[in-house]
Amino acid sequence: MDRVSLDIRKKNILSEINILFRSGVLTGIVGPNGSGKTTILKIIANILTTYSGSICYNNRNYKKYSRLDLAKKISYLPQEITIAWPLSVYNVIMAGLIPFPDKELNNKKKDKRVNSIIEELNLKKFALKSVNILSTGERSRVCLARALVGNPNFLLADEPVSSLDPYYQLNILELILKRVKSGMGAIIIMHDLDLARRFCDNVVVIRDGKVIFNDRPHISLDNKNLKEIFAVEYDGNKLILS
Amino acid sequence: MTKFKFLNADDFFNNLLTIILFFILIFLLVFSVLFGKINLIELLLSDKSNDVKELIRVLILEIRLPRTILALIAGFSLGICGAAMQGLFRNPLADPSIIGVTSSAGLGSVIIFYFGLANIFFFALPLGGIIGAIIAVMVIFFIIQSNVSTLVIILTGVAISSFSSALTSLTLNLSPSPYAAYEIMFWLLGSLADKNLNHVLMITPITVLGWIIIIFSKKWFTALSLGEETAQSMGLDLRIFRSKIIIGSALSIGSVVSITGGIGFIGLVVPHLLRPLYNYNPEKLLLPSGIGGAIMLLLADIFIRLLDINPELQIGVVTAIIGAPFFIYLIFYIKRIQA
Amino acid sequence: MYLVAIINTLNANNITAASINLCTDQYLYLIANKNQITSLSYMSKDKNISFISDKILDIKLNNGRAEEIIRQDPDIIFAGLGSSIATVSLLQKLNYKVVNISDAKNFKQIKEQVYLIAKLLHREKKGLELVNKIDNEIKKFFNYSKRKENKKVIIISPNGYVTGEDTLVGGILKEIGYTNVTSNLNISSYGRISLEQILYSDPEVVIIEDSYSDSVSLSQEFLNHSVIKYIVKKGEVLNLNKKLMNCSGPYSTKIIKELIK
Repeated sequence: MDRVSLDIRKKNILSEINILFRSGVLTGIVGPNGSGKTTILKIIANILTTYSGSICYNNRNYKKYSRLDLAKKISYLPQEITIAWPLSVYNVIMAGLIPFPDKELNNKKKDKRVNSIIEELNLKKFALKSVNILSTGERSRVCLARALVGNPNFLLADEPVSSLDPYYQLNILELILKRVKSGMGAIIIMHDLDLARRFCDNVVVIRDGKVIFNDRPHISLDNKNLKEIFAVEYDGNKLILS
Repeated sequence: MTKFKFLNADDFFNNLLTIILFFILIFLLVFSVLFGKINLIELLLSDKSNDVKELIRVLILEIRLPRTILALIAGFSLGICGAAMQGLFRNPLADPSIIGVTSSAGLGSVIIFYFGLANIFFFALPLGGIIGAIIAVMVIFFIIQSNVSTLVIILTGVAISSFSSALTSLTLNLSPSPYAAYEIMFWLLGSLADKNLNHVLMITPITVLGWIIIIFSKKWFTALSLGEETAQSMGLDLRIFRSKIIIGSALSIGSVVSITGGIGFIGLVVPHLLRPLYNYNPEKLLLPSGIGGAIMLLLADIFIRLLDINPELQIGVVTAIIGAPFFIYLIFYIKRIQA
Repeated sequence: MYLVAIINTLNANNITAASINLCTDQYLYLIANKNQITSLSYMSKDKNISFISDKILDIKLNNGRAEEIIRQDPDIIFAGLGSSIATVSLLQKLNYKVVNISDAKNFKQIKEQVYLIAKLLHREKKGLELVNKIDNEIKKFFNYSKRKENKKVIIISPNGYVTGEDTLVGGILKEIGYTNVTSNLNISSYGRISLEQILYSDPEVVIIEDSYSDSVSLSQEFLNHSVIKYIVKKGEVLNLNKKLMNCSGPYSTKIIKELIK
């Protein structure tokens, strides 16, 4: 089992973050806006490298890995995806294999990988279309395919479903869940507390750059916490203002 | 696995296209050497004396060949750097002349040249251009940070261009030579005329080094088209990559401008025309853009030689007449795809 | 009688003049009385191109701008071909008398110009003296029969400019017996030609004008091109004093002296 352990601080943003992520687990990160969720994710994704403390991947410090090695193990799906050119779906997904040098994975194998994820995520009918003409939901699936094509050990996703229609929200989360069941770790910033309760194995609640709770969803997101942090509570199955 | 047969076909088509471009380039290179005010073939047929042979030797070696090689090197640099900068800024308008790199490279060269510093050492003149180019790109990065909006890029370019052009003009006025003040046209619009092999030798190694630096970092252009953060999460060290592209472009553009003056718009037009043919793939676009840039500059140069206007037209006049309307078209194009 | 002469001199001295052009600077210096000159152009001080640079230490210089000239309020302003049209027309608008002296293409014109300037300044006697001196020198220097057998000559200036036969230097060269390569290129006075044309014209005698060899410019760099070096090596080089290639005005007889050496 793979693990990422964080023990970090970042001036003015994160005061003390101490979390352990495991593969095979879908961890949701929730918290009010500006609480530092995205910063944490970017630090794990090796995008932000200025922080104090340390992150370890399988008990070995991040700094001892090369960027490419980490990129092969951990992939990141940002919240806003603007693709500069009207690349084809196939090419966008293929870009997910950039961390793998040709020696490791030749073009033929890369093509095979891309084709199998196109199959897995049911993208066949767009494969040669430009990503720019796809709907937001379809494009999210393409970006997810890009993040998954290298078979990462961890997927980091920053609110992957918050701007999507219900169909794609469930569709994307189920695709991730399927991967988690076969051993991948997922760390997902969630906006929707209902979906967090439903899909996450673990929910980390962050406020003001601090971990407040890190437990099973029904404990992390019990009414007392919800009231205190988000000023909402459950009334039966419905979230209401408290 | 050949589920998507066209994908391999695409690669085949791309390679074929590059080879075709390459052959067009070779044809133009030969034509450019053979074509000129003096009709070589006629001359050879009419008179086979040693005098004529000597004349032809000097003509080819000292006039036509330097001009042709310079067109090749300058065009290739402008094309490949245009494609590289557009990849780096993720914006199709990021051409060296639009963002002001060309004019500030010109300023650097002018300062070195007119104050007689060009003879300090062999590469002094290109070095002036390179320093000018690096300063311009640094200023652009400082101003736009990661905000790559088209408007900001264009406005920054306008500011840098006007400022460098003004300082170029000032330097020319302050120069002790009475001819200097009339040479602003050369620095703003460029020319390939009257250069010799020494000039070619001076910039070729530096320019080619620039191309190599750019081509060796090419895989990250595709990653970058998915966004800076995505690219970084894929293992890109953005600071190192940026520095490489800045240095590579500055080496090429800076040294080319120091010899040919500011030839504009090639880096804008050529990559844009080729991009759809290479499936918008920014890394596959680099080499063809270089070849295409050389083709366009050779065509422009042959054109002004055909025109037979005396004194010869500045080559930048031709590239700007094609490029400036194209630039306006591109703005509309971007507005349309962003809407 | 004596008194009238004095009054005449006084009148003559009353007419003042400024010059905003190198040609007329040199004319003025030789013809006018020193106290008639309000100012000469700054070019007259340039030792690269002016014969009088070291003789005019106590004369005021101008940059050819209307406001400087107006302040000195001369009666006549001498301008030349290269003078700024804006300046000239502004001065004329302000009711100044501007006299344009064009580039002389032969000695006849030079003598006419001397007479004209001398008359305007009431220095006819000085003018006559100068014309006589010019005539004497022409006689002295031109005392030969044609001795060059149609050698092809080219006069190259920075940036590929060439001088044709319908110019002072070109005319003298023709008189001596040279054939100017420009006669085949449809250039009568001045024109610009390419390196290919220079190479192809295959000159036997080369005159290179580089008046400012102590400074750098692209135009001057043209003269360092390997093709120019090639034709210089192949042919015979004729040296002409830098000052004579620009406007030498009353000093132009020296051109003959240098070319028939």
